[in-house]
Amino acid sequence: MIKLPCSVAELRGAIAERFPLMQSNYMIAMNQTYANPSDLIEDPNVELALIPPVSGG
Amino acid sequence: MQKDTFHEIALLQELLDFSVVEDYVRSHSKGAHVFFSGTPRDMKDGQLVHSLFFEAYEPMALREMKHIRDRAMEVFQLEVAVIHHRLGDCALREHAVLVGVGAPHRAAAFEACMWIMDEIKSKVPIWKKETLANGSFWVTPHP
Repeated sequence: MIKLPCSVAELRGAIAERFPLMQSNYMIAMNQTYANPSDLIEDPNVELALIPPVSGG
Repeated sequence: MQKDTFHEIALLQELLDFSVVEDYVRSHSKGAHVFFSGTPRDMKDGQLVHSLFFEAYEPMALREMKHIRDRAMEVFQLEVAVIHHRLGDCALREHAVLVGVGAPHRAAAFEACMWIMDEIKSKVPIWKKETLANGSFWVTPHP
């Protein structure tokens, strides 16, 4: 578990610890917008998404 | 397809209609019109591709597409820009993506169309699954 507020970078770290075999080449989106590593997650109801490399077009 | 209301930004489960996009761009811009159609390749590493499937994180994909359109309108001084992307099953030879732009002069229209496609391919959360003879695979984009 992680405590809020936490940064997007800290969330990535927590995911890597919990799922060590998961590839790390994903982006994180917060409320449907790409987030920066330093962005803070404060709202417990935030919509978070892990975005694997996209292949549209 | 899109008979009732035309949306400049759309994710569509049905066939994309080039003529509808063309009519819309032509009626909203005088000067240079550039159109791009992306269709699935029929070979993958020497294997025949049978079909394609597109999945999206739809609300964010639409937001990103709108953001790309708005940026292109501003940066390239466009009069109109349309981005339609297919979702779901897509047969070979069907349009996977259609982009249409209109600008007063051709240089801006060509550049904008190229830039919009580059942005779509790198940023819009849409994923492609290819079905080959030996199974279906999510496509890993080349960096």
